[in-house]
Amino acid sequence: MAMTHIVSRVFDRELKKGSAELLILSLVEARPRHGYEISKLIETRSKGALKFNVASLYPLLYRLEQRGWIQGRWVEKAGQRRRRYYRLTSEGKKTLASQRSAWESFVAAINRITEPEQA
Amino acid sequence: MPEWKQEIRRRLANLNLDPVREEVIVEEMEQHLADYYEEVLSGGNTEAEAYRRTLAELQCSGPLGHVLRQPEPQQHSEGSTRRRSVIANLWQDLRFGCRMLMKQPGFTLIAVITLALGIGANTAIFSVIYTVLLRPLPYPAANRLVVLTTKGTQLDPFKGVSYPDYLDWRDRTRSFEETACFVDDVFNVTEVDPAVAVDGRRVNWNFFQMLGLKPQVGRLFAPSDDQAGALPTATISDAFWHEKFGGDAAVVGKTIRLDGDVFTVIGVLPPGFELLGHHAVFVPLGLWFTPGHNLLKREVQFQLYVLARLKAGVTLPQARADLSAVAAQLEREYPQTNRGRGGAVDRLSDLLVKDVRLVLLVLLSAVGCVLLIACVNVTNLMLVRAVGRETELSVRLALGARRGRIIQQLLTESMLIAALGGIAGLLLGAWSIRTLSSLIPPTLVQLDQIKLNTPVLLFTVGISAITGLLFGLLPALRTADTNPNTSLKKAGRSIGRSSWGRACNSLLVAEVSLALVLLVGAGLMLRTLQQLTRVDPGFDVANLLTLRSQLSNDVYNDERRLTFFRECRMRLEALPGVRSASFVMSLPLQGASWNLPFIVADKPVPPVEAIPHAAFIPISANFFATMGIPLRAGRVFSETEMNDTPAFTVINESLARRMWPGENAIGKHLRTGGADSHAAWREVIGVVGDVKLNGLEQEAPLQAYLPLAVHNSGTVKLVVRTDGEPLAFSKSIEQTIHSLDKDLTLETHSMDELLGNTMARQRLTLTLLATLAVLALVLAGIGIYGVMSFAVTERRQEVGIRLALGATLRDVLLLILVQGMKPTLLGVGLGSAAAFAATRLLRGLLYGVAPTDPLTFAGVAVLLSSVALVACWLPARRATKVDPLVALRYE
Repeated sequence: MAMTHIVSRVFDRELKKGSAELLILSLVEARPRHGYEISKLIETRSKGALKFNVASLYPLLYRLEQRGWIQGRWVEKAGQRRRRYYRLTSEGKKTLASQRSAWESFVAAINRITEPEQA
Repeated sequence: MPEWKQEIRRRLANLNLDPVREEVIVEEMEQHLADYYEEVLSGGNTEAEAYRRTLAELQCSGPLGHVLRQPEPQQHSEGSTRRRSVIANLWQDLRFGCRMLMKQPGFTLIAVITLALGIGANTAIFSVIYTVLLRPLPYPAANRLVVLTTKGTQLDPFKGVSYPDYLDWRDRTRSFEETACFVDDVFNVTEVDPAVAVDGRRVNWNFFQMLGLKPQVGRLFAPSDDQAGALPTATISDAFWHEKFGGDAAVVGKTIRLDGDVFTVIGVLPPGFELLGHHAVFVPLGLWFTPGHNLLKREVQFQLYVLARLKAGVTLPQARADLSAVAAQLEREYPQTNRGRGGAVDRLSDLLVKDVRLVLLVLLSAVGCVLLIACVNVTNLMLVRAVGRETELSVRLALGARRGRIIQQLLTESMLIAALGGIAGLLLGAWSIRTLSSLIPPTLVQLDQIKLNTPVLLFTVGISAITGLLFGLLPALRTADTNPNTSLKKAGRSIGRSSWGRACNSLLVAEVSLALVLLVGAGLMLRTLQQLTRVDPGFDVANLLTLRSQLSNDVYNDERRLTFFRECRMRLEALPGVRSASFVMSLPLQGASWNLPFIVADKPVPPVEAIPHAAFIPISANFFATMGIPLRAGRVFSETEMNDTPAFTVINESLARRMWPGENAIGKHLRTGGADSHAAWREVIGVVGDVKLNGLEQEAPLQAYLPLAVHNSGTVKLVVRTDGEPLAFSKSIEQTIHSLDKDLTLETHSMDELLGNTMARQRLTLTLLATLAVLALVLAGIGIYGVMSFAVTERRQEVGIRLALGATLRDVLLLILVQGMKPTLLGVGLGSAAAFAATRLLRGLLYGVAPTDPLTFAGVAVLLSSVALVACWLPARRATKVDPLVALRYE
């Protein structure tokens, strides 16, 4: 039991690491979002299965920004503190498209293998 | 609410981030944590639980800094942190400065245009000065190259050297490493089509060697070429090579006929070579000096000059003393010929720019003034603008901005303006250089090499930077000196006239003074030109055509030349539209070519040094009628007296007055030479008016006219009096001459053109100085207007109160006018004093007007004051339109 738990956690971490970039890029595709919103969306849409804390989310955001895939910008709205919104750059759009199709073929390949064989 | 920032900072501590970047990260994460904390709390948890869970957000596999290390670029040392923050500040200032300038396009445009005018004018003039005065000559050890001439005296300005004198100079002086002679000459080049007369030069074989020249084709002269009896050889210029031989390398070994003699071309000089004039053909000087040649006599001074190189370590004064000592020896040894000849040593580089140095220095001072005025104007604009920004800057100071930081930001803005002005000025300068090149006559300076090059670019960048500092520093320092407390209290209201007003006023005074100096300079040049055009040249300039030609010695001997003169005159005078024509050896205004000493029969012969000289001018009959020179007494030559038997002469008034004051000169006798002369006595048959021979600004010398039969050479000038515009007849006149000799080359000008050329230097100075002065006047006007407009806006409430209390509109108008005219009049006073000193520089360019001409000074003062009055009156009128109610409500 304990063994399964550890395997599952390692597997989980690796999966998250590989797919984290794809998740964030997808979330800012439709419109710019700030960090807290992004982390909330990941948590709610995955129904709590995936969760990024501050210490992992922001380094990731900064890395994506550094690569020029997303761009952060301070936006002030009346009656609110200013927030940093991230939007997808055109470079990011290309990356998202290619990561998305790679992910889909990967999932399809895994599915083909893991589907129960027909007797 | 817990304080998250400290927590985050602690975790980032070891990362050494850029402070600005760190602030961004802290703010963003802090916000996230605060949101999360709220959310946990609102889910019904205790504060302690919420705090614990929020803190967990910051946990990761290692310290947070470790995770961030990858995406965040780090800083490594304290020094680079500071550097980065300086650069970050500068970048921020630049962007902020750009935004500020774009927010006030009117201010920016005026400032940039003002600077561009100043910087552009400086760039253009500096490019000329660099090329003409500063650029080193392209010869080895060029600063040791000098030219030796005789000293010349008041009576005989002729500076050529006699050949025996040269040989003695060469052998007896000890200051010179090497010497070479050169004589300019004109050659008729036949056997090229069409035949041309070209400027040439006879040189010693080592002339080119001294200048370090290498032939691009063939070879240059060797010692064996440079002696009488050697095979005649020639080298040609690059331009002549291309023009006449199509740049064919096979030109070496070809022959050309120069004045009928056959010369073999041995080499082509490098492109662009020219020294004291353009020359197409060079031949060895030694070829000329066959034994017994006239030019080998000591008494014959001709246009022979000596190029010499000073020995290393010998100074110019030492060389001068050396040559003077030798000349004095020669004077003792040959008193008959060498009395008063002396010797002069001048740097080659100085001779090359003799005529234009003064013009250029005057112009450099003038453009310097214009740039200063431009700076003053922009400073004023900046000061006025700084007042408007006082509140903004006070807020920043109050919030803790350091003064140094604010000065840096204001200076960045002024440097930005200076940079824009510099770029625009460079473009303007490049354009002006082209205009200048077309304006400056090539006789004054060769301008084909003037262009924007690295030194000129550096100069422009330099003056732009200095300009930026000049007009930026004062406003920046004053602004940063603002006391935030008092100016914040005054925020929203205009501040008093106090210190800003004083600074603006002092600048106005400076501006007006500078403009006045320039205007006085231009005014003096205008008066000079006016005086020059009023000078009577002594003959009728209108409808007079002049032609120059070279009769080849090969084809024409003395006899045939006289026949040609006679025949040519007859045919020309038969042409419709030609009233009369006459040959002469030297044209007026072009310098006399035959200056000789003379004595008169009825007076004792004076000592050698006091023997008078006169310009002896051989002419054909009809000369006086053709030129329109008035006859004062006696008669002129008749056609039959042209063969010079008996020997007559016609003299000018000056000669008559000088030799026979109060007597009738007619019937008196004179002859050329000194006491031992064997020349024939000539009877004076007529006295005519004086003619300006050496330019309008020079006194007419003593003149004596002789028939052409006495003396004539291949270099002839022809004057033709026409009915109407002379150049319209040039074609038919040239055709008629060519019908006599189709090989003759002709150079045709109207006398008007020649007259214009003699004033070229003054006209150029006037044109440029006047342009700059007008520029200065406009800038000064704009400056005064700008400051007064600002002052009127500032005093609006005061005016309102005055009006409300019963002041009349006239009182208000006067109030403002007095405020503006005070600094103007002070500036006029100071400027007059400065101009009094500065116009001495112009002395060498002036004619008929003193550098301190009261009329010019007064006229300029009135002009400048009037412009200032208009510039003050416009804002003052606006002040009278102030509605007291509106102005007071503002308060």
